[in-house]
Amino acid sequence: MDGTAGSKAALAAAKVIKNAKGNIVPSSQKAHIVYGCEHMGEMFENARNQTLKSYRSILQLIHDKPSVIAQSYVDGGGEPVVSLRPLYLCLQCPNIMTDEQRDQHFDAKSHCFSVESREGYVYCGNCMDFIYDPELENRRLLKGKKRKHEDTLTADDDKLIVTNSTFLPCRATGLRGLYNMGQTCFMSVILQTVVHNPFIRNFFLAEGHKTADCERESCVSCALDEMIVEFHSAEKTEGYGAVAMLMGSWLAGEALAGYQQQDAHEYMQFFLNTLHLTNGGSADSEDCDCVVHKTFYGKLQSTVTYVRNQKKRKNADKADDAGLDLRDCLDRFTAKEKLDSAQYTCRNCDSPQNAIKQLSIKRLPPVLSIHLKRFEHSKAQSSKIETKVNFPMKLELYPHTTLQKEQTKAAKASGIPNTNYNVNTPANSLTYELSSVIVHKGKIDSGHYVSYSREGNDWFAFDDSKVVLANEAEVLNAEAYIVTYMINQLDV
Amino acid sequence: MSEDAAAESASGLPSDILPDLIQDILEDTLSNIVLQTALSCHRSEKLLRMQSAATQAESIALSTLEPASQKGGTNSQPAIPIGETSAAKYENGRVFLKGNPLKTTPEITCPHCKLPRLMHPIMGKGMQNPDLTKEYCMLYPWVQRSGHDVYGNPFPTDMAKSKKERELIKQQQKNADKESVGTPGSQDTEMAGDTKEIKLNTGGKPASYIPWHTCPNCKRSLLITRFAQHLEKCLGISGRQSSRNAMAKLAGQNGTGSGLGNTPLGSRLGTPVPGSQGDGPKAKGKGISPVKKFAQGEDDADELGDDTPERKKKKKSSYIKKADRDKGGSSSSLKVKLKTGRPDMERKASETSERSDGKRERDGDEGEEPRKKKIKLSLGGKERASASAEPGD
Repeated sequence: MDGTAGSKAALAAAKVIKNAKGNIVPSSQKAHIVYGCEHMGEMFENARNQTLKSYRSILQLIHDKPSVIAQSYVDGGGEPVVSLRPLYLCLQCPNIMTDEQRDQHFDAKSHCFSVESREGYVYCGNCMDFIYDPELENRRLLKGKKRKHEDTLTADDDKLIVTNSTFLPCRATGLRGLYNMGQTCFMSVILQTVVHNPFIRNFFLAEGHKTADCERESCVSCALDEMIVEFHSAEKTEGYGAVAMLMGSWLAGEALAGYQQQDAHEYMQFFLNTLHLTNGGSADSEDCDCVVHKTFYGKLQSTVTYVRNQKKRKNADKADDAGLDLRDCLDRFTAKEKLDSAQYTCRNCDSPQNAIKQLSIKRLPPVLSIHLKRFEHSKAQSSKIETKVNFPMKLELYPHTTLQKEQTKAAKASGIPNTNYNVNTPANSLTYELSSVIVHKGKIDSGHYVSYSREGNDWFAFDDSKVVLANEAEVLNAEAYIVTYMINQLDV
Repeated sequence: MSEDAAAESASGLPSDILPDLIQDILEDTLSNIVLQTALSCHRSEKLLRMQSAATQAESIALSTLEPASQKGGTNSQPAIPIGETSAAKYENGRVFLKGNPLKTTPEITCPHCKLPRLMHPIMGKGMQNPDLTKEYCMLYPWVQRSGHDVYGNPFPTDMAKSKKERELIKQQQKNADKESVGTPGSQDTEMAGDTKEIKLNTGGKPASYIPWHTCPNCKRSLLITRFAQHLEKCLGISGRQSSRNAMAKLAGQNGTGSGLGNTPLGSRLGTPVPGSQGDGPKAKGKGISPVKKFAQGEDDADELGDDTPERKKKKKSSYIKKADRDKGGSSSSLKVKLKTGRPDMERKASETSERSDGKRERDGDEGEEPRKKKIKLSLGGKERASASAEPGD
């Protein structure tokens, strides 16, 4: 699933078709675009299976095979040339062409369709434009792979949904401010970040927490449910008063209760833990499959290698939100660290040893929250660290994983170099995209929290009840306190 | 791959080719970035136009269908909805596009509400005045204008303003409403803006608007901006109520006193039996039930009074009645005590009233407001205090 396409689909998913007079349109009459263009319609009617098959094999070529294949064409003199620019793969024959050659090919052979070699977009020679055929787009987003989980929604299901749904206002896309109830901005920024987290949002919109059946008093999950449902169903655009949330939080976490400023990170930990407890979380976080653990829970591995006898000990530490800084900081965090014998005592042989310690990420959660330690506490005093930490829009996390460390070692041992370089879908890549940023302004003991969250490709700034459009530059320049990254694609 | 491949080939090449090669690679890379951005834009725009073409055809099909099905109720044949525009053909739920939607369909139609979408923001950066004779999908393009949110609502401006200032604004707005001939009382017309924006609904509230919320604990209505402050006391986390809870715990007289939030609700149910917990500081909270007292002494309660003067009056009168009732209904043993302790009582009563006033002042954060109140309260306060102190001693 493509990241942006996915979140856009999620935005629209809550809506149900209704016609201008306010009547719900039965599902049999739902406006469904059949083909990307007339020409593709013709093609499908004549050679449907052949078209789908050859499109799929082209997608596999551009995503799985070494890129040098799909990026090579034969120039006028018959010489093979490797191109950095996208080429076009004919859908009807095995030709790989530049855009000029593509147009000539169409004139000569009337092979109308070709596939762009980077993203797999389909070009129609008759339209002289890219087309977005619904069926082909589905396959393009899957990169030629088959769905692991088939969409099992039948026509009857569809009808059932349509006839039992009410119309949702188009404006209810979840963009609402949260009123400051008196020093509650630490809560607002966490709530905004959680509300704009598609995993959590979809869980609640899919009735993951059944408020009607919940018997807890002042339940935080119920309060969040109420909030998310209102954000996606009410026409309102003014702020929201998270009164039930405040009371629920105070009653559940006595340490955070009271009319005073709190640390947002502390609140986030409390909040996620409470969500975990109120949504079927098990006491053993190892194999808890509640929505919070599925979304945020990762694992760190610390490997200690003896310098002398090469004996290894492995420790898996928890890392729901590891206290890391960014890229460089991540490098340093997962770099090898020498421990001399004074620092390390082996638990097995109970003797001091020279050792090398290395942390790596054993399991990555789909949503990774990184908490920058901006508040320093020493015995004498606490202070705020205002160092600027740069953070990227896209974060590659594969080099920091335990898997990478092991694979590199294995590759070194076997001595076979990797020759399968694919630019479109690099092997062993785990790209995360920035999804929200929480900013602390002011001093350690008093200040203000604001946050940024991404919806599709748009960034929004949330400052209590105010919601404004933001741009990437503004987001990347913010003095971040907690940054949240989300995996850019998931296999479905 | 590209970088690696380039580096490999460059390594075996004479150095004078390198600058050209580097330039080529740079150009190709930049061109790729531009192409990628353009294509992703192209895709999202074309998908919108495709869906719009389909929705427009669908609307035509359904609008021709509806009268037919109403008239021909006896018609045995269910009509198959068909609609055709220059951009698409709708046939029983399936849409076939004609031509390139980027050329055929200049207008975006919302696939959900079937209304046209506004193409430009209604204010701020890039704004254009739309044709106001038409109805539009409520999902407007995001507004970028300083002091306004994405919908075009002005920021709440007076969150921190004092009650007096808010009152003044409210009064001014009321006057303005009276002068302007429009739909009175409608919140949308209260919006500061040109008359044209009235029809375009930003959905929000005027800048002066601060919502009221009911406290889930004590069910009283109060300003959202004061909520944390109120709830802290209401739940007994700190402030007066918590010290009272602690006191109750210490005294061991009230077993439920420890329960968060129970005390205010419980005490609301009725005045405690006289003499059951009668020591000095407790006594002043007796005649007036703590909630009522809260309502008059607390700062946020003042806010309550602002908006609903009738309610305040009611409260006052009901309170007096209650006090009277307490007086009248108090047992004979009380009267005996009254007689004996009268002179001492007077002094104590005035002390308590002063003390409680002092507390009120501390709670109130609105400058001169509490001082004014002090006079008011101490006038009535003496009576009240003496009435309430009576059962105590």
